[in-house]
Amino acid sequence: MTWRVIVGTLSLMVTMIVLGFVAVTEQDRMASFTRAYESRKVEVGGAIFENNCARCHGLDGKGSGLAPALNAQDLFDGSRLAAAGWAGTTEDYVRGTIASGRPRPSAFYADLGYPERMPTWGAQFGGPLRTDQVEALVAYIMNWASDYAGATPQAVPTVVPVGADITVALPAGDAANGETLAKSVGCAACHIDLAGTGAPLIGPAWLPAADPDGKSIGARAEERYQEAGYAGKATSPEQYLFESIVDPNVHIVEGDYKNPDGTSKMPKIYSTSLDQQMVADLIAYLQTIK
Amino acid sequence: MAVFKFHVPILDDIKSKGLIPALLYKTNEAVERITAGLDIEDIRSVLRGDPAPRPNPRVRPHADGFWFHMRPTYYHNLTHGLYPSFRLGWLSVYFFVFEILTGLVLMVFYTPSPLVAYENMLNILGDVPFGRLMRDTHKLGAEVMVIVVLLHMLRTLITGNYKKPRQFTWVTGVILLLVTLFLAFSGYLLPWDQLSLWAVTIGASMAGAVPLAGDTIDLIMRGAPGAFNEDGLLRWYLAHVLLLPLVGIVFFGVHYYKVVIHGHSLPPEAEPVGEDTAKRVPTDQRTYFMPDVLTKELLYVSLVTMLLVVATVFFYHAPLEPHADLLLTPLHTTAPWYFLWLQGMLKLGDKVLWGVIVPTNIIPGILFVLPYFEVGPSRRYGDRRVGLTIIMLSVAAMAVLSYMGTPHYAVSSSPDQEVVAALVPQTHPGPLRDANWDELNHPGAYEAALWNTAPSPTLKELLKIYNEEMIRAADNAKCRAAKNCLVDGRGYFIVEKWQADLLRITFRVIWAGGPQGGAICQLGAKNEFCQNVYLHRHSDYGQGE
Repeated sequence: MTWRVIVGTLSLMVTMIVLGFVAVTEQDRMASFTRAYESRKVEVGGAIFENNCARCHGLDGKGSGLAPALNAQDLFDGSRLAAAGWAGTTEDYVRGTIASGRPRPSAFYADLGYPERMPTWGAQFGGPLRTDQVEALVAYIMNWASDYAGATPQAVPTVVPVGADITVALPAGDAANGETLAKSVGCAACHIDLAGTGAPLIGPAWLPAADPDGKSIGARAEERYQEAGYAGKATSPEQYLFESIVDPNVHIVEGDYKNPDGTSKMPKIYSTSLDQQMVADLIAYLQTIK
Repeated sequence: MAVFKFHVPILDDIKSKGLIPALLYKTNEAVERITAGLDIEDIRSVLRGDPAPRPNPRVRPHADGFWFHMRPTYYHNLTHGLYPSFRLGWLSVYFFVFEILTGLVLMVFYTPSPLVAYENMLNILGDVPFGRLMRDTHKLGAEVMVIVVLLHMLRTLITGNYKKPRQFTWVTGVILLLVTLFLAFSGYLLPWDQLSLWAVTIGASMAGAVPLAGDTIDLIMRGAPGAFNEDGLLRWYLAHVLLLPLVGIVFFGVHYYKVVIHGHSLPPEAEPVGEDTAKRVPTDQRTYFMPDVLTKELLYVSLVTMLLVVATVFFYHAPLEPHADLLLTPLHTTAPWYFLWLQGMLKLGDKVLWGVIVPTNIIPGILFVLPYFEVGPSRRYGDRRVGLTIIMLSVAAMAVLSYMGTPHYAVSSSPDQEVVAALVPQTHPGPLRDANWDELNHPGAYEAALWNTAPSPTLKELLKIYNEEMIRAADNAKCRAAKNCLVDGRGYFIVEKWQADLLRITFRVIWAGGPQGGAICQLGAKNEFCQNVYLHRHSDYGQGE
């Protein structure tokens, strides 16, 4: 009886001591497990990348004629995100792009002319990869980031809003910049039939071919501010284009360009999201379209 | 007139006896109520092992209490020691309770869905304090429980306790054995890793061989034709946490009731042939449950719990492989060890006969009806030479079949893949992943045959294994039979610095007729096998998972 009580009590004490040991070391153990698991994700991601992504993005991630580089400074220093107008983190950008793909070649890369769209990979969007596999790919791609650590981000332009006053003097515009801007800030989506589908445009066409009168936006601006029904304040073609961009409700041209509440379908964001130089560039570009 | 009368009796006691005596008296009374008859002094006397006073208060809990009512008041002197029962039945119950308790904790952190089940495992291991301990003890407890229950059955066979009047106890025991096996097996699937998915797939696909109803059974078990999906996982989960435990509890109740009704049977040599004297225990042969058996059982609880905790904290960790992937069958997938014999039988031939009829009809059938056909009166070992021989031969047959179930027996595969799998197996971490990363971090191309020139001890060791595997693949009985030996084989091991803290290691095995010079590892190249492995500095496979 005595030894039973002694052995039983001793066993209980050993159990409690071992559990105490676990309690003390548990935080470190959990942290090391998490680190190990994050590392294994990179390994898994490497294999998935090699099998699925390397064909277009290159085995080393440096890109190819088919798709942009991922093992590249601009992805990690913020400049690519800024140019794409992405407000989140690089990781979210990469995750979202992998999981949902791109429905059409990115406007950002339009001038590079990648022939293929980014396919949808995440299973929740109809792709072949499970969520954990997408996460593994993200971990692998983000593991390139440390190679570019400390690299200074390319200057991200800070915007001083241009405002809605069309009488301010704008700086000299650069038509080439304006053309790039037209694609990246969204103008082209409604004013130019980029994809060439022939579907009706949402806004008045810029190119003469799609205009009912066969006139380009540049040509129309020359005349419109002098017409009888014109309701705006512009006194020159430049001011007319300026006004259309920053204050589209003042004069809405005839056609199906109104919302049900009578306002223009044109977004009313450009007086705050563009700066003077950008508007000047856009105007310069629009005037070159004849 | 008071609306209601508020009366606290203890206040009266305190007034009449004083504070401390009144509290002691109340405590004592509470203990006596909880134990249904024993006060503090009685319990201390039990634990001291004092002889029972008369009248004996220690029998009162057996008469009045719920839990002790289930236990016999006394045992025969010959039955409560290690022999003849080895306390295996008691141990089975211990593990059943232990599994329920740890299982309840794990349930809190588990969702039975393929979308999150594996993530739940990572959460349990990486974010839940004591989570790994719970998972490890649950897993180890399950494995030990299977062993204990099997030994319990074997012991019952050997001592002949299935004989009259305990036939039905034996039948319920067979049901409990099946419940235990299926509990262990159904739990296998829940982590939703490669190990669990493919081990269970082997079992589930056998059900598909059932004539006529095979497809339906397969669909019910897996949720989709020929593949596990979320419905299948949910069904296995519900079987694991509800159906099987309920069946187990019901039949455990019947089983133990029968054990107590018939009495714990004596060692075969202790009673005359053909007689069962377990129910009539002479007064001078009695050992009372309190204090002897109770203190022993408390000791066992304490001891076994300690062993389980120490084993899981320092030595054993439940494996967790990569996320389950229905499209990727790992090389050398096996059933859990307690079903390896089944996998071995499948290699004998027909899937219907060896995968369905024998394991699910003939073997359980023989076990169920055994006590009604094997009716020899004697339980003595000397009188049962034939029976005991058959038992031992059956055990040996199970061992042989289990060996046949392993990948060592009659599994054809490509020797080139086998070579690489020896270093990076697909079912556990293996030598390369367990190796020291810093010692692997010597970018370059190495050849297995020149292992001795490698720049670090770890590389030398790995290349040596590689070389030995290459030599084995060049000529062995298996590859001679399959005519796929690696003639003039060469094994290369290419280490590349790939990313920060990430190495890419390429295994390249070529043999006679393989590409000479030029680009390596081209798609569709003949007589060349390549496999890439990525290794991160901190992936730390040494932790056990």
